Amino acid sequence: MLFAFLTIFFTAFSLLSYEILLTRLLAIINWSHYAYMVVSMAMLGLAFSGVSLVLFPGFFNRWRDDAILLGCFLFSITIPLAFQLNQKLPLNYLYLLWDWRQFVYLGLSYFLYGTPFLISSMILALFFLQYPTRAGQVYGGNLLGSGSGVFMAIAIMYIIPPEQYLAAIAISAALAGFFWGMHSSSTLRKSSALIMFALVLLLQYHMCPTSIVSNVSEYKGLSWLLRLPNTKIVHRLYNPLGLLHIVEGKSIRLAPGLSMNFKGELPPQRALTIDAGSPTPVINFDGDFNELAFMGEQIFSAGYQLVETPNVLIIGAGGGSVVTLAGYHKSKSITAVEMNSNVIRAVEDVLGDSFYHRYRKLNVKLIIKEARGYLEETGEKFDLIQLNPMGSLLASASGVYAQNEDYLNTLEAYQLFYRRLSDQGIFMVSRWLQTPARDGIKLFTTGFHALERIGTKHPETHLALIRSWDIVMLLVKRSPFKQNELKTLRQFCSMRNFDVCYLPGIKEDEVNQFNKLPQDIYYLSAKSIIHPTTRGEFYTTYPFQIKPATDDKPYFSNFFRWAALPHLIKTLGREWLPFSEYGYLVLLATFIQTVIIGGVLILLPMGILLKKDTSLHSSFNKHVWFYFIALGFSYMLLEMALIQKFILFLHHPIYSLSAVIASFLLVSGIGSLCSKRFLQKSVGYQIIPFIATLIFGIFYAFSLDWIFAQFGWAPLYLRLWIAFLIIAPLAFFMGMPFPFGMQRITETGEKNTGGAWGYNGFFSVMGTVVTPILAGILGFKIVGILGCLGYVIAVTVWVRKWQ
Amino acid sequence: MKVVSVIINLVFSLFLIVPSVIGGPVDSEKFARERSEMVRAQITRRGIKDEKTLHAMRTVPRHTFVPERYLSSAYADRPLPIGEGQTISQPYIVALMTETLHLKHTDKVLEIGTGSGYQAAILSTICKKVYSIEIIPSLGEKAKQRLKNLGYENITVKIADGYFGWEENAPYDAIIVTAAATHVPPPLIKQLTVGGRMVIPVGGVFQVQRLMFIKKKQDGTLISENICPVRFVPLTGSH
Repeated sequence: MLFAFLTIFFTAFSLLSYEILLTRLLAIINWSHYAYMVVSMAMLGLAFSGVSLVLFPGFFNRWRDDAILLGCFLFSITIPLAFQLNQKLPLNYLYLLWDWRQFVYLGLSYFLYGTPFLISSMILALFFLQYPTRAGQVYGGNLLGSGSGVFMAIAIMYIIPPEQYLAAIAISAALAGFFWGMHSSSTLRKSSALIMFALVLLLQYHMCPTSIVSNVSEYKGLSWLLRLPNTKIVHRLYNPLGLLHIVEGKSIRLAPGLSMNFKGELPPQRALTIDAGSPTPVINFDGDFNELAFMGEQIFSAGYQLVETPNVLIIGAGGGSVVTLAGYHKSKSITAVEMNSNVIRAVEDVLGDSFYHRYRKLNVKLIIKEARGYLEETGEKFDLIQLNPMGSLLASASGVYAQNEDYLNTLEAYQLFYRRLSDQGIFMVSRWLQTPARDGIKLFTTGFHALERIGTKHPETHLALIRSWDIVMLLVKRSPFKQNELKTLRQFCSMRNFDVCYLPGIKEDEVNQFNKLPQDIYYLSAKSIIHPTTRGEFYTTYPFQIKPATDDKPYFSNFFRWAALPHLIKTLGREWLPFSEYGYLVLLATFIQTVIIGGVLILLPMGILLKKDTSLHSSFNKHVWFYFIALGFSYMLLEMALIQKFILFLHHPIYSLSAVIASFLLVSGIGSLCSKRFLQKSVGYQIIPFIATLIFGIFYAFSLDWIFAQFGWAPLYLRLWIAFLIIAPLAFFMGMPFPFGMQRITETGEKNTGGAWGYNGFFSVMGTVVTPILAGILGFKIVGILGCLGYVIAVTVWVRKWQ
Repeated sequence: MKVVSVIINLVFSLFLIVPSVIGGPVDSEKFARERSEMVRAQITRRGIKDEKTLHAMRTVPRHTFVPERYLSSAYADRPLPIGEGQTISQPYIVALMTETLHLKHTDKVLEIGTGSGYQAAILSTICKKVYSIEIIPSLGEKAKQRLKNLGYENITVKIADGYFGWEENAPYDAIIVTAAATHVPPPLIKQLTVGGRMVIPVGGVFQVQRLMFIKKKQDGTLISENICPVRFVPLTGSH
């Protein structure tokens, strides 16, 4: 059984590593939202495996041993092969709306990426057939392997470059086959396993990509940079937080928010990209501020006009240009918070020699941490807090981040920034100026309502909104703006052709002077928001979702409103995606595709089969459906909601993803191994896992924010352990109901193992896809409660039908 | 590895060929009809009135500027990929940018970002002289050859960094920037004649959302205007 257990373990291990690393790879070469869509669809292969077992039971029963062996090696080979074949497809996601051929390529892409999921999942399902009375152990091995696979995936991101991800997973998948060969008593099978293992090792050398850069979409920032003449990558660094490239070239000139009145020259720059995305400038700075005259002409300098020699906090050091800006304005002290240590390394250490060690020379206090975590624990006050505009600008690019949690642009975050301001302190945040207007308006609503929540009597006296031709910027002052400050701000703007959209006491004839809009929608919106009589109607009639994001719905970049959907569908492909909500559209498209593809590949064949096969029909009870559907859907709903919620605590999606998934799988695996003990006892014991899941689930829905607040001070490694301890009891009990059901199917002689596996798999994928949509509408609390409801259904079936 | 590579290429050639074949054969008469329909349905209907622009859009054979695999969509209401991460803009956007520049027959125009050469060809049918700069050599060479073959003699293309403009031929009556920019390059503003006009599309690939129209006033200062080609749900709230 040891070798069999190892086969299960390594198959599940490779499967989860593949899921996570493939998502990373696709996010690098394409975009994260498309990666999410492709991997979600590919995971339907998991569910289809159950159908295959039901469709061809004779074959799999007869050739089970060989099928597992062959399956392991096929799994191993198809991992790099699927990727390589996909690179040959002329698939252009951006062109999906217009070219029907793209759908053919997209379907092929799903099929190719789904194949390894299908094969690995079939191997695992075959083990349930192989060991019908040891469902708990099989499920336990599966979950333990999966949990370890998550850890492995994260560890790999520190150790090896993205090109080698697939080879590493393929080898671990081949190991599963090797162990299954060792498990066999047949010498032929043993030697076949050895030969195939050696063959896989050899093939990896040839089949894995040699360079990730050549696979990056031609429409991404890194590709654009490399097309410029004489540009080249001078350095790259990687870790789970991103693949970082530094590109050098004379044609790189990035200066968002620059006044059109600026007549001088820009200093040479390099560009920094993360995950091959939009470039941010790394200004060549040799210590001479005279070379940086353009910085004084950027809109980001606005706050510096109002506070002399400030103590500055930069949130997101990025390429260092905002830090240099603080130096340019002779700041008394500069604190820069940056999560990704590689970004600091790139700017300071790698480029330091040629680009001046700016952080050291400017006496910058560097904090490698998440900003909110840092601000929660520090008692320090700042005269200026600046959210790195480059970071915000990346996030506001064309709505592709609609599904991304952004805990720096919520009401709670703005309240925190406000509390850390000195008496005359100012907080600054900027976004791209979008048409139709949405980001800038949402900045204003967030600032306004954050001030209201704090108890500010007249929030409108603390706010200013200005814009250049491409950037809109909000300034929030701790105390009301004074007349002389407003005068200075007006002068700063008029000298640089920036428009004032809102200032306390602004008059209509002051707005829309330089960069003319058909009407200054920012001014009109601000006016509506500050008046309680017009605010409600404004929120309900504005075509975009511009109410502030909160920690419960942390989607600042989601501007999608359901009311706008009919118009969007009507104009799809004809207008320039006026609503530009790619991210949210991709979520909806993924949901629709899951229903259609899952329906056709899984539900339809199962339905037809049930009608034809009377023996199966007689044994296929509806309660089996409900039980496994409820479990699959609810498990993922709870897990996904916690992944998104824990980002606030662990400060980065990748930490949250790995900690939550790994904790769930490992502890659920242990729960699964213990399930037999509960099953052997009375019904009172058997319902404990269901009831405990309900209790923990509802408790966490209401108490997680409070728990997070208590441990916000803890370092990352401690917070990871705390996350594990929070999740462990819930996950332990959630690991039991599935093997309960599988065991009961076997005991009652029902032929539904494959069906149960398939339905569970399909609705697990559905749960994954639906959670971000539901969270955007209802918030995490409600999603958590909905997840618990599934366990109410499952326990009802268990008590009423299987007792 | 070679065998694997050959198999992969064979399989994929099949997948790529089938959709192209289904696209069907096309001829120049068909293109002329499509072009006329394009102007009627996509351009005049959306409010483009300038006769010079409409004439240019009716005259320039757009299909000669698109890659062969997109021939059947040459006159469709959409941008088309031309390789190197670049696109040939949607016909309406080309027309709108052209109309926005208020061009005269005597004008000298500078284009930054030749791309396929289509926009330059449109401009050349209206203006006296068009200078066009492309930074990506492969695109620039192709466009240069294409424009020469099509007989556009009043267009000069050079491969260079458009950020610095083309000082030898300055000043220009109009400048059109079709490449992505995070700011308006100061050298271009310098090379614009007093009273000159500049237009820059703003937005990501395949999703042009607005145009920036910049005018250099008599005193050398600039005013800019956002031209929003996107018709969107009107605001119904009271503001």
